[in-house]
Amino acid sequence: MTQRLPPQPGEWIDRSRTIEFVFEGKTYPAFVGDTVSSALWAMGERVLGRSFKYHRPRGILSHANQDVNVMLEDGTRTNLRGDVLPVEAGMVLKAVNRLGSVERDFYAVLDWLSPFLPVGFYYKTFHRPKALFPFWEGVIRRMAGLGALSPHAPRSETTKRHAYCDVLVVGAGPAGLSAALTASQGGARVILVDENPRIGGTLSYDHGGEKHALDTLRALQARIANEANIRVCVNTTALGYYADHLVPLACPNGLEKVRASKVIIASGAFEQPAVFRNNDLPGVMLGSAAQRLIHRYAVKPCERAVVLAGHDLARRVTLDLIAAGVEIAAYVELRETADCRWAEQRGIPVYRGYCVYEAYGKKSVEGVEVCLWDGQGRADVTRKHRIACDGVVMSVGWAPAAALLYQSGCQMRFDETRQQFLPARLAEGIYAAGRVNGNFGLEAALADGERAARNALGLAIGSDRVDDAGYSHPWPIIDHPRGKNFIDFDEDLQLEDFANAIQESFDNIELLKRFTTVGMGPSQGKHSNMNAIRVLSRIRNQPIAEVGTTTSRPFFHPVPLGLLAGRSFDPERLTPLHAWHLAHEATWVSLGGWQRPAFYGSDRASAIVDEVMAVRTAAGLIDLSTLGKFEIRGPQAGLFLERFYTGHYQNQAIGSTRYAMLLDETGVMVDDGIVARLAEDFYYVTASTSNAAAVYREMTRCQQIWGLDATIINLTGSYGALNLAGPLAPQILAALLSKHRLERLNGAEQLEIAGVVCRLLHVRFVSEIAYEIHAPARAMLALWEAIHSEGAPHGLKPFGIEAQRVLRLEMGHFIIGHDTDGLTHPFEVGLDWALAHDKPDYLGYRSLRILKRKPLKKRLVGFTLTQPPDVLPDECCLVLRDGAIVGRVTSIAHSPTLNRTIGLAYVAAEDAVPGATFVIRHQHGMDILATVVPRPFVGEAR
Amino acid sequence: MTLIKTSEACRFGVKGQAAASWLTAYGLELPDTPNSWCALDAENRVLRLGRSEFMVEGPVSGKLENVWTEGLERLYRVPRYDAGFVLEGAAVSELLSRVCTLDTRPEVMGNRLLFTFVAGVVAILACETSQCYRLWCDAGYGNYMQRTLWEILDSITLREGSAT
Amino acid sequence: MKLLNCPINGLRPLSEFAYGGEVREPPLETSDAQWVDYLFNRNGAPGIKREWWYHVPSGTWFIAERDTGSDQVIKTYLWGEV
Repeated sequence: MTQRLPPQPGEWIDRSRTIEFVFEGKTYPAFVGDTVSSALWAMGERVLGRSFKYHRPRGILSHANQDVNVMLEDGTRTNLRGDVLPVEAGMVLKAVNRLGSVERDFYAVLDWLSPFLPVGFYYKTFHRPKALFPFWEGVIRRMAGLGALSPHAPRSETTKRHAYCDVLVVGAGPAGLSAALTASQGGARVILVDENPRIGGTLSYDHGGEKHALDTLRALQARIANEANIRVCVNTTALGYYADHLVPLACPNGLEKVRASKVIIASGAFEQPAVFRNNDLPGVMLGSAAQRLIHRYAVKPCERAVVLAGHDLARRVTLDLIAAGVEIAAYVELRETADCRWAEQRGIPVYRGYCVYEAYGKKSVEGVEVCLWDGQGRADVTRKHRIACDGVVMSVGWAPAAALLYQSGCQMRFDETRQQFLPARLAEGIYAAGRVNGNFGLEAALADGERAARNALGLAIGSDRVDDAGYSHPWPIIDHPRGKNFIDFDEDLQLEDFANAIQESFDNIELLKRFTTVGMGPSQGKHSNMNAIRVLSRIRNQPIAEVGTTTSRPFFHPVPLGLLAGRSFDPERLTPLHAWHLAHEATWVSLGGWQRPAFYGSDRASAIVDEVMAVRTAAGLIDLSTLGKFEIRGPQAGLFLERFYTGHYQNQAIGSTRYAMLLDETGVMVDDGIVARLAEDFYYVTASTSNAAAVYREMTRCQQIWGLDATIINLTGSYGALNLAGPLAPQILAALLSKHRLERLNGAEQLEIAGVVCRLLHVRFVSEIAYEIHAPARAMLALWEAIHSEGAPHGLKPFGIEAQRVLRLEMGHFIIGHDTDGLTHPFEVGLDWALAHDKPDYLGYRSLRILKRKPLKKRLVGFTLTQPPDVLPDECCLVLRDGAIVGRVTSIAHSPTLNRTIGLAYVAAEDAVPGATFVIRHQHGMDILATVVPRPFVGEAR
Repeated sequence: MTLIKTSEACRFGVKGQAAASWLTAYGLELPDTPNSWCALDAENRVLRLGRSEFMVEGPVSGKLENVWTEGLERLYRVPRYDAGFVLEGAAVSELLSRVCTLDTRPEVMGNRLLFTFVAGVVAILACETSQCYRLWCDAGYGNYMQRTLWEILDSITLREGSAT
Repeated sequence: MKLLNCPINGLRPLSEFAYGGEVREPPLETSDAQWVDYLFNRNGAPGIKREWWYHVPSGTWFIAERDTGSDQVIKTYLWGEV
């Protein structure tokens, strides 16, 4: 291992466990704990990836998932970030987005063509001739992009769980650790999350050449381990902030949705790159990246480094490099007036008031040119020095990792002294601590974490910003006539791209973002947004505070869709007769959450015909347990029904049934059913399956508002129902009751059948002669089997939904929601008779008075096709008249009983007379002629 | 970790302004707040569903069935068709965290009944101890609920090797 | 996800609720034009609205007073109790 350092205190690698992995066809060694990038860098590999657009060689920039220079695929998973992907034995990895190999990418020719590929180039070039654009689009998509999806990726089961805590601390650096300990000692249940494999944050890499950080970390770790109230989650990313303190966490094997009472954001800050020509060469990296390589992975970042400094913390980076044996070729200090004596005393060549003008090298950095500069972006090229090096370490500034703060409604303001956005006004229950709050020093961060926790516990109020110093250079951006000074490494955006965009009038932050796509790559602006804002501010001559930032949205890091999917719940509701249907070869259909028999047997077409004919010639039995069923009881039960439905119920005879139609305020039909009066103050009401819950909901709301003396009991789940229909139905029923009893049957009554206390209703939906029998769910099977065994020898067959549809169509009945839509009112379907006119008021009444006076544009009619085509028109085929749309087909089927095609359709009101013809536009494009016929279809002499 | 389906248990539902007094007349102790429950003894419990609706579970509901008379004022029978479950064991809280969005710790629940969604289905949840919960849902979802809870339980114990 | 405070069941995630429209009194004795305006037009200006909400698992209807500008719920109560 050429670049591996001797054991570093607190390192994250386990030197006793060596493993091997393959990258781009070559095998490499690694330690358990290495990331792919650290293992490759340790072996001297420098070109770890190719950039998105220009396919430029790339290496390590942040090593903290703040850039995607190193994007890999392993044949199953794609877009893996090498900087944070732990090496596992046997991994086989390739870089994404290159043709050939990462070392020799054929698409690198695009870098030479870059003058023709400015930002937004695809809007300007390649669009003429228009016919060729699809071809160019395909080419462009192949040459620029991320990883490929594998169609063979195995399905992974990830868990999804919910958790609660008093205080959620995001980030386990010094501020977060301090906050967690303070909160826990105050009695709170704490969840502490950190995206890294270990806690510690900056304590695990920003050592500044001393032991203090590591000693502090060890002490904090020991104290955390002793606190039973702190649940530590590493390798866990807080994905975003959602209303009322809901923070989903991406854990290694699933998603955890945490609801916290208070949230402390100690997420730190992202180090920002300097912008100079070829700042993306492998070997040019952020100071924190170099420190992570040294202290966490014992990897020497380079042999000979040029440090580019923009603030005082760069000193700590330099001392860490020196302690790791890196030769400092130059300390280039951007600020002319900074104090660099500490460097001079160590014999480091100091270039004060200089900038790095450009880096050079073929596939990794081989040296830099430094120039005197004016601090405003312009270099004095007459005073240039060439310095050979194999690493450029940039330490020029920071941007707060404030995504969750923004999402929680925090207002940030730009602090000109510190050159950083800081929290100005936090939302209720949200607290910020540490670098994200502008406190960079170790002691300041620890104190800030403690203060935030005390605030969260209600023990103190107020915020202090302890650190007054600023650690961000206001303009770490150097012009170069030949460009290739990158601001956004994900999107290959250079400085001139911004000037061009602004010149084209995309000059406000939202437009600039969308035209240049800055911050829209996988890193979502972590390393680029701040510089983009600086550029915009400079060009528009507006202070940064006025330029503002774009909206921060979840997720904090890209998340695999599989993690979000997890387990979904797909509830399935069974009727009490489910096992019987199963045993009798039912073919199922899922309707409204219920499993219902569509037909019995395996051949759909013949089963439907058999079942329909059974009901027409002998008898049929259908499971209607899914119907809505309600008892309305009490002295004002009848009055309640009269105000709710359109009909009369207070004068309904006991033992009779009446039609029930429900309208909404606008007079539109919502549902229909049957009202049976079983006693003076006892009504039994049915509703359709799909509307059962909604009808009950509306009933209870109306009852609350009206305050009538009526009680509503929902029996939809606790009662089942069946329909016994057909010419032999009375005979079958008589065998179970007695003929004498049958003759004395009312329209609705409670009686005992086969030992089961039931409610029997005469309902003519599928047949002229039919009995709907309702009974407690537990008794349904006995009832059904009794009827079935009595009737089967006479030709009784069970029938399913499909046959029911045909049967009710033959009877001429419409189904609400199928033959009616969200605008259909009763007059359009000829239900004038169901509307009472002498009731004080009922739902929809006021609107009916208006609708009644309006001339009808369309009406629902029954029709038949005299010459049906082989393929029948579909439901919803349009009805045309003189080329205009006047209606549509709502139901259509071949009737086995009549041997004819029948259906229901909306036609122009003028055509709604028996004998009239109308035109249906078939789905295959031709026009079919249909004839209006009176309903019901069955029972007519034709 | 065990999951017992108690669908065959007797349940008796009643509602109305006279419901509370009718039940107390038969010697039943009732929970005093809406949406809470109390155990009468090891086998019987009373659930208060809302302000004036009750469900009695256990052998005593058989007795109530026998003495029930139709037609009493302000007193209505509510037919019950529930699937009931007893979830017992060390993995219960993990199981609940996967099927329910609420905080189900005993100190938070007390003797309250949680009307919520469990595994996507409307359900009632009650806590006896930190390792014993009772669950009720419509019996039409009984098969689905049992299957789903078992599958999740399997994946919990599989991952962790034992039910901890 | 937002939490809503059901007067009977306490704080619950929004997914447990169904929205029931704004609490409005239908005007009596109106002209047709006034009735149609009541039916189809709503006031969308930000402000405090009284809304019907339904807690689905327990079947509880209640009113929420919500500032539609800031999406803050000021209070919730059962119909008839203010």
